[in-house]
Amino acid sequence: MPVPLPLDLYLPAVGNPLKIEYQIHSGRVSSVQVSLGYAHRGIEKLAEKQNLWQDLVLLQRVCGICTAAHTTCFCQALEKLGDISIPQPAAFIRTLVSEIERIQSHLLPLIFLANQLDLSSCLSSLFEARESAAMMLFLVTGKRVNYDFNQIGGVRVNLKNPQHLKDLKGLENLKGDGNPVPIETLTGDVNPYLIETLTRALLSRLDEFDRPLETVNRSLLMHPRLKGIGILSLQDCQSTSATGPVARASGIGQDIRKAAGYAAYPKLDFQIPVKSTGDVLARCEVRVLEIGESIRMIRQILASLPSLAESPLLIDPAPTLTPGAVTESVEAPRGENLYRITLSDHLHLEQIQIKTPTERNLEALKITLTDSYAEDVPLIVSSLDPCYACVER
Amino acid sequence: MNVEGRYPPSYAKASRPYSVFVFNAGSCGGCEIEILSLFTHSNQADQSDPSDQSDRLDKLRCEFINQPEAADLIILFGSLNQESSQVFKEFLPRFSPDSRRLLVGACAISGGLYQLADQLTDDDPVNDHDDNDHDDNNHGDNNHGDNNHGDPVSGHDSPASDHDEPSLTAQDSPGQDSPVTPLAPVITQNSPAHDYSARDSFHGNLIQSLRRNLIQEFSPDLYVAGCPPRPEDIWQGIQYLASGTRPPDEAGKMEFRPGLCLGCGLCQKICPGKAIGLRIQEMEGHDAQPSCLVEFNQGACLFCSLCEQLCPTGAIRIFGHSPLLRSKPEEFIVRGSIPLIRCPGCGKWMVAMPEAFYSKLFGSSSQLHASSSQLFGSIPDRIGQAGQTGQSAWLELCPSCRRSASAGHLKAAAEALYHLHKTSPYLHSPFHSPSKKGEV
Repeated sequence: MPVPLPLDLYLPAVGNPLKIEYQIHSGRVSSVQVSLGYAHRGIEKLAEKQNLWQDLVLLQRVCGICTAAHTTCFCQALEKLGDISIPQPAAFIRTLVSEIERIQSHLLPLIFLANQLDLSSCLSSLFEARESAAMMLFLVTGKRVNYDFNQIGGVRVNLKNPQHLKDLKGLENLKGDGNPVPIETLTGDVNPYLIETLTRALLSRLDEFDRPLETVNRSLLMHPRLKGIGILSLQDCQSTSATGPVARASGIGQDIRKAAGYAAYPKLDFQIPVKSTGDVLARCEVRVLEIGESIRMIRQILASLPSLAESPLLIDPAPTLTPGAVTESVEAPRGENLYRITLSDHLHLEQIQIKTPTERNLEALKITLTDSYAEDVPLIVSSLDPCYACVER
Repeated sequence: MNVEGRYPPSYAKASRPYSVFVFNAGSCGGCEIEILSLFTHSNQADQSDPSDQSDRLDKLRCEFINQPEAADLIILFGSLNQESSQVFKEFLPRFSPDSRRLLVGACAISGGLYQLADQLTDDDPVNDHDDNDHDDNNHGDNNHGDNNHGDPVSGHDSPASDHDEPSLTAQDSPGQDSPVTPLAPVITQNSPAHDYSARDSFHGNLIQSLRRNLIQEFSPDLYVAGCPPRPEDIWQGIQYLASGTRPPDEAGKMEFRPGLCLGCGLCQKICPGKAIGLRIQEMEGHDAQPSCLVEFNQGACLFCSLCEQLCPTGAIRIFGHSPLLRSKPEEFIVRGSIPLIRCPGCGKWMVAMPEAFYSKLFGSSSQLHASSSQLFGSIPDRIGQAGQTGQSAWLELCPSCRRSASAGHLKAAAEALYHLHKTSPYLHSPFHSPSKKGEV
C-alpha cells in the first residue's frame, strides 16, 4: 500500500523548505508531488509596482544564493533594450562576482551530500571553502550575501576607495615585501597599491579551494552510494528541458556563457565540463569541474584587475533607457536564468517574467525520483540542487 | 545538525549544548545561508588570529535541533507570507515558554522589501480589489491616492508612517499631538503618470498587520538587523541571549547629517526597503517654526547603499562594520530633523539649501554671489517686491518661486529678443523661419 511521506519542510537551515511529497510502494518511490508557495514573496508583481532603482535591489533578493545571476540578467536586459554598452572593466567585475558566486553555490549541494553521507571531515573542509568564497565576495562587493553590486550601465563596486576594506584586519599582512601598511593610509583617488593588495587577498583565498576540492575528490566522489542512483537519461533530460549542471551531467553541453557570450566571457578561456552518465555522481563531478573552471576564470580576471581599476566602472552620464520588450538570459549557477521585461513609455516595468533554472529542473526532479529507492531520495534531491527561493520568488 | 565534533575538545566538558531551533519562514536563502555558515565555521571579524576565536567559542556550544519543544533558542527569519505564517502559527504553541527568541533579518523585523507585496491568496476579497486598483494605477490614474486613507486595519493615512510600528509613531516624536502632514515631494513635477507616492494603499498594510500580530505573539527578545546580517552579528546575538545580557546601545550602521539634507525626498523615493520617511512636523502655535522630520528605520534597511550613492549632498552614510542588535524594533530608528525657513518669495515653509551644498555647486562660498549672478542674471521684479534685492536671493527661494522667477526672466529675455527682431529685420530670428517671413 502506498504511504504518503512529506519530505521534512523544517530541516533547520540545512536543506530547502521546498515541500516534496512522494509515495512509497514496496520501498520505491511511486509518485512525486512538489507543492510550492511556502517562500512566495510576490516579487514579480512587486517589481511592477516599484521604480527601477527599487527593482534593482528587489530582484537581487529573488535568491540569496544566486544573487549576481538575477541582477546581471536584469541589468543586461535593460542595457540590451537601450543599446547601452557598459565599460569593459564593469563587464569583468560582473563576471568575477558571477564566478565567485558559482563556486559558493556549487559547494552547497556538495555540502548537503557530505552531510547526508556523514563525511564530517569533507563537510568541514567544504564549509571552509564556502567561507572563503563568501569572504571573496565581501572583498569585492562589501557584502557576503545579497551583494548590491550591479547597476544599469555598469557596477557600483568601488575598487578605488573601498570603504568596506577599512576595518578588515589581516589584509595589510598580505603585502609582498613584508612591510605591513595600515589600510586607512591606502585610500585615495586611484590607489594601485590598494588594488594590488585586494588582488593578493583574492588570490590567497583562491588557493584555499585546492585542499577542499582534493578532499571532495578523494572522499565524496569516491563514495559508493553516489554511483548509479537518480539517473536522468539524455532523452528525459531533453524532454523535460532540464538545464545547468543537471543537463550537463546528462550529456547536454549547453551553457549560456558560451552560447550568448555575455559580459566578459568571450574574452576568457574556459571549458564546459560534460558527463554522460546522468547519475548523482556525474552531477557532483560536473559541479566540481565547474568550480575548477571558475577558479581558472577568476585567475584570468584578477591578472587584469589592476589595469581595470583605473578606468570607470559606470557609464557617465547615466544611460538613457528605451521602452520596449526584451528577453535576456544568463547562466546562473543552476542553469539558464531567463528574464522577459516590458518597459513602458514611462520607463516603468510594465511586465516582468522570471524563469529560473530550478523551475525547469523540477520536472527532472520528478522523473529521477520516480522508481528510486526511498533511502536515496535525499541524495538525489541534493544532487539536483533545487533552490526554493528561486522557484517560488 | 550537530557540529560538536568540530570544536576543540574543551567544549565536550560543558554540561549541555545550547540547543537552537531555526525556523525559516520563507526567506530568500540569504539569512539561511548566513545561519548555516554561523554554525559550521569560525565566523570572526579577525581572520588573522584564530586563537582569539577559540576563546570566544569556548563560552558557548550550540547545536541545531529538530524539536522546537526542546530548544533553548528559537531563531526566526524570512518574509512570513500567507503560507509560511500559517505554518508558523501552528508552530507557535510548540515553542517552550522558557526559550529565548531571536529575530533575524529585515524581512522578519519590519517586512523589509515585501511590506507591500501581494501575499494574500485568491479567496481573500481584498486581494482582487487591490489588484484592480493596481492596474488602474499603472495606467496613470493619479487619483488613486484617494483610496489610501481609512485603511481598515491599521488606519494609517500618512505614507511616512507605513514602515513604522504603529505604536511608536506618535510616542517617540518630539511633539506628541502635533498634526503630521506628508511632505510634498519636490520631484513630482517630472515624475511619470503613475504616482508611486500612493503605493501604501496596497494590501501591504493588511498582511503587515497579520505579520505584526504573529511577531508580537512570538515576542522576540532580540532583533538582528541586516539583509542578511553577518554571521558574527547573529553569533553575538546568540551570545547575548545565552548569557542573559543586554546588547550595548552602539551606534547604528547609518549616519544622517541633517545639516546637509535638502529635503528633496529622493532617498524616500528610491528606498527599496521603504525604510526612509520624510514628513513635515508642524509645531503648535501659529508662528512656530515647523521642521522636516527624517526617519531611517534600520530594521527595514537592506544596506544596499542606494541612498548613500544617490544623495545629492552626501547627507546619508552607511557603515557595514558594526553589529546592529536591539531588543526593541523601534530602537532601530534613526531620526533627524531639519528646521524649515520661510521662502522670501512666497512665504511658505521650505528646507533651506545647506551651505555645504552651495560650495559643492559653486566652489567656495565666497565665490557664490559672483557665480549666481553669472548663472542666473538679474532677479526678476517679483522678488524685488518681496523686499529681497541682490543676486544671492535667487538661491534662497523655494523651488516653485525659483521656477516662476526664472520663467519671468526667460519671458523678459524672449520679449527683448522679439523686440530686437522687430526693429532689425535683417537679423536671423529664432521665431520665424526665413521662408515664412513674408506671411508675417
